[in-house]
Amino acid sequence: MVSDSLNNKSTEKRLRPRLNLQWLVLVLALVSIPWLGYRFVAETRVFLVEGQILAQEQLAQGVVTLFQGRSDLLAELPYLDSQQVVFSHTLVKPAKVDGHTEEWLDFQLLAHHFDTGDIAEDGYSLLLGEYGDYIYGLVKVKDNLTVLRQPDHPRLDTSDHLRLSLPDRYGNERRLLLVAEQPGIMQAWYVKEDWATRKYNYPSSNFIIQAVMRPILDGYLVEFALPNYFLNERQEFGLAVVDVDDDLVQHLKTLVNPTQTTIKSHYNLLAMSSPEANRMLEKIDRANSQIVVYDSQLLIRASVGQLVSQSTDANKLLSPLEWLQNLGNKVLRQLGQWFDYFAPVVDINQEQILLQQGKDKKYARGRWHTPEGEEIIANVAPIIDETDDLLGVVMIKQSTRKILRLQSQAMENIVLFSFLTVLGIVLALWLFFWRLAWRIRRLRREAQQMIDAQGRLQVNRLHSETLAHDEIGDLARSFSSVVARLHEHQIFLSNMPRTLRHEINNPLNAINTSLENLQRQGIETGQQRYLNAAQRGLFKISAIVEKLSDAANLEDALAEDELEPLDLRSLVQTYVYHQNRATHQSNTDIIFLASAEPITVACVDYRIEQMLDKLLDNARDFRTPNTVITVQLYRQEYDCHLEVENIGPQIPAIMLDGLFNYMVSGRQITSGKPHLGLGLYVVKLISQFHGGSIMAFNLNQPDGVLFRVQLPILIV
Amino acid sequence: MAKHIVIVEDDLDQRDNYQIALEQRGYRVTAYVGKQDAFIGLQQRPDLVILDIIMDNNIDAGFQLCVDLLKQHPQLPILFLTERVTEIDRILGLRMGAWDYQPKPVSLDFLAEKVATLLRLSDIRNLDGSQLTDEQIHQIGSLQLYNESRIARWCGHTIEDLTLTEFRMLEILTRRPGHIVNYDTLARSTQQHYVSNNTVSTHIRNIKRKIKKFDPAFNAIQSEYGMGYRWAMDG
Repeated sequence: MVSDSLNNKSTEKRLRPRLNLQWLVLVLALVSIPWLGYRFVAETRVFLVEGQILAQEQLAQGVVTLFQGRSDLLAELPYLDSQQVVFSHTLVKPAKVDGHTEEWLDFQLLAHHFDTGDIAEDGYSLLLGEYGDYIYGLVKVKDNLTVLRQPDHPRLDTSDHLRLSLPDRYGNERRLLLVAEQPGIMQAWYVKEDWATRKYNYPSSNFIIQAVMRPILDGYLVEFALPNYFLNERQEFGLAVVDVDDDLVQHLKTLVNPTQTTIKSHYNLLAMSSPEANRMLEKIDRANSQIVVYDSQLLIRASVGQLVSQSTDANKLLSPLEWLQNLGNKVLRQLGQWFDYFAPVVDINQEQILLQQGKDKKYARGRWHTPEGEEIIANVAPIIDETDDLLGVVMIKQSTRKILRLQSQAMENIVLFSFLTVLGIVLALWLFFWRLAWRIRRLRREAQQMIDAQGRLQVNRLHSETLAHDEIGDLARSFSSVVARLHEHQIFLSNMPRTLRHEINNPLNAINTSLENLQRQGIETGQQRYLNAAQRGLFKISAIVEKLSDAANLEDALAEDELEPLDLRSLVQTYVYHQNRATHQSNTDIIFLASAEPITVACVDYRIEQMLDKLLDNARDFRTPNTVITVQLYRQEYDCHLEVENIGPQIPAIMLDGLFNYMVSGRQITSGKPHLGLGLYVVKLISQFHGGSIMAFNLNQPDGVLFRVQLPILIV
Repeated sequence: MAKHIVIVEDDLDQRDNYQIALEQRGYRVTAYVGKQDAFIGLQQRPDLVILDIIMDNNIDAGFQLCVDLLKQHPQLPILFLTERVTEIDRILGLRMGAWDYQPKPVSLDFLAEKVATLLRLSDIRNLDGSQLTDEQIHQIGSLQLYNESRIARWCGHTIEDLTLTEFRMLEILTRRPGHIVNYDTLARSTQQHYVSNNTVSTHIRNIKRKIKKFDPAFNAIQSEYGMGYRWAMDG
C-alpha cells in the first residue's frame, strides 16, 4: 500500500507541468485573441456582403420595374437566317487604335472566325467591342501574301482591303473601304457600288474613322474604330476581307456568302447595347457595380458600370507594405477557404447558371471568384410582361473588392494591435514566469547549498527572497525560520559532545583529584579496593567522553591532515602482523590476503590505522568465537577494495542503511567495553576524507558480515 | 624559599584539591576564583600560574588573563589546565605564550611533576649561557635532547614550539632506537587520564611537522602500524 501510494505520488509529480510548460499553454491560449478578431471581421464581412446582396436585389427589382412595359427596347432582334450575330464586347477603356491587341486579350477566345469554305483559302477572325460612342474592331487576316495599295492607283480593289457596308435607317447603303499603302494608318474611302471607284477625291478623315494595319507572321491585323452613329437602329453592318494575291485575282471573304462578289444585302447584325436602354440605366449607375440588361435570348441590350479589373502586374516591384498586404490578403483568402462557411466558390460558369435561372423566370443570386481572384456577387431578376412572357433578364454584378479592402484594413489593424498586444502580454508573462522560475530556482539553489555532503546545515538562515512581500517571500521567511530552528538544534547536537565533555570533565577531575588526595592522605586497609573501583569507573567515563569528543571533532581534525602517497598493502600487512602479535595467541587471529604488488593510495597513514582499528574492533565484537577475521586488499580498476570479513550474526536489513550514521549501534553482545555507535561513523568519515566510501554486506553459508572500504588508487 | 604558585580555577573542589596537593609538595599556593580576582592579586610576579580557560561563563577568560599577565610579566611560566582539548585550543594557548597545555582530567602526580618541570625550566632559562655548559645532553644521531631545559635540536636546529608532552614523547622514543614503542607507553607521556591511540598519533604528527619545517627529509620516526612508533637506528 505504501509503495502504491508512493508510486502514485511519483506519477503525479511527473505529470504535473513545469512552469515553462504552463507558460506555453497560456501563450497558446492568448493566440485565440487574434483568432477572435479574425472571426469578428469575417462575421462583419458576411453581414456587409449580405447587405450588399440585399441592396442588389432591390436595385435589380428597380431595374426590372424600369424595363417593364418597354418591350420595344427588349424585343427580339429580327435577324434572319442569312444573318449572323456578331457580339460586341464592352471594353474596359477606349481601345488605342494601333494594331496591337492588348485591349482585346480578354476576348480573344470569343473571336468570330470566318473562312471561305475552301481549305486552300485563308480566313479571318473578327472581334468587335464598344466603349462610349465608338465601335471598335480587330480583324486578323491569314494571308500568305499581303498586297499593299499603289499610291495614286485609280482603282481601290487592286490590293488587299476591307469592305464595310453600313446601311442607314432608310436602307441606303454606305460603303467604306479600308486599304493600306504601307503598314500603319489605313485610308478609309467611301466607294461606289463597284467597290473599286472612290466616291470622293479624298479618304475620310482619320479623326472620324481610324484604322491601322500591322503585318504579322501569317498575315496582318487591322484595328479600326468608327462612331456608332454609323449604325442604324437595327445595328446592321457588313464586313468583307478582300485578299488580292496578284493584280488579277481577287478573293472575296465575306461574312455570309463567299461565292458572291457583292455583299449588298448580306448584312451582319451587330449585337450591341441599345443607347436608349443604356441611357435609362445610366440614371441608376452605381460605382463598382455593373448592371446588364439582356433580352429574352440573353443578348446584352444595355450595360452600365464596370467591375474594376484587378491590376495584376507581376513585374511591378512591391513596397514592403504592399507585399505584406498581398501576403495578408492571400492568408485571409486561404483562411476563408479553410474556415469561412461564407466563402464563395471558384466557378466561372456561375454567371451562365444565374442567367439561365433568370431566363427561367427565377430570381437568383450567386457569388463566385473569378480566376483573377476577384470575388463577384451577382443578382439576377427576370423582366416579365403582363402576359407573363419573359422580356429580358437583369443581372447586377458587383465586386466585393471594397468590402475585402475594408476587411483587409480591419484585419491589418486587428493583426497589428493583436500582435502588439499579444507580444506585450507574452513578454510580460514571460518576464513574470521567468522571474518566478528564477526566484524559485534561486531558492532551490540556496536550499541545496545549505546542506553539506553529510546533510548538515551550513547556514542559519535563508537570504534569498526573505524581503519579498509576496507569497514566495512568505514561503522563504517560513523556510528561513525553520532553517534557523534546525540550525540551532544542529548546533546544540554538535556542541553536545563538547558540552558533555566540559560538563563531565570538571566533576570527573574533581572526583579524580579528590580520590588522589584521599589516597595520599592514607586510607584504612580494605578500603583500597573501593578506591580502585572508583578510579576504574572514572577511567571508563573518561574513555567514553574522549571517544565522543574525538568523533565530534574528527571532521575538524581531518581538515588538518595532509594526504601523502603510501603503499596501502605494506601498511595493512604491517598492521595485521602487529595485531596478530598483540593477541598473544598461538593461532592466527587475522588473515591478510593481498597480491604481491604494492597498491599506492593518497592517504594519512594514522587515519587508515584508526579506520582499521574501528573495523577490527567491530569484527572482533561480532565474530563467532574462535573464528578468524579476514582482511583482504585488492585492486578493482582504478580503486582498491579493503575488506574486513568476520563470521557471525548478520546485520539486520533495516539497519544496513543507517549503519554508518552517528551513534548508531546494533550491539547485543556485551563485551565489557562501552559501545557508542561511533566506530563505523568514524570509518565512514575517514573513507570519505580519502575520496572513498564504505559499504556493508551480509554473507551467507556461513553467516557473516563483510565491510568494504573503497579507496581511489593513486595513478602516478 | 618555597616557590609561589598561583591557581586560577572557578571550581571550588578542583581548586582545593590542586592547592592541597601542591602545598603538600612544598609549594606556596595562592588560589583565585576568577579572572578579575587573579589579575588584581597578581601584581607581584609568582613563579608559576596554573590557569583554567572557561571561568564564570566566560569561555575565553583564561586566554584573556594569560595575555594580560604576559604583558605584565613576559617570562612568567603559565600552564593551562583545562577541559578544552581541541587542537585549535591547544595551538591557540601555546601561541599566546603559555608554556604548556594540560587537558583535564589530570593526575595530581602528573600535575606536580609538570609543575616541577616547568619551574626547573624557568630557573634554567633565567640563567645565563655559561651556567648551562654542564647540562646533560642526550645525543641520538642528529638529535640532541637537553633534558634540563627541555630543548630539542635536530641537526643543530632548535625545534621550535615543542611542548613538554612532545619532548617527553621524543625522549621515550629515543631511549631504545630501533625498538618499537607501543601506544600505551607513548600515551603515558601525555600525563592524561585516558589517551587514545589517535591522540598519540596526533602528537607524533606534530613533532614530525615541527622538524620537517627545516628538514623536509626527516624520517626518523617510523610507524609500526597496529603497534606504535619506532625511532629509526640511523635517525
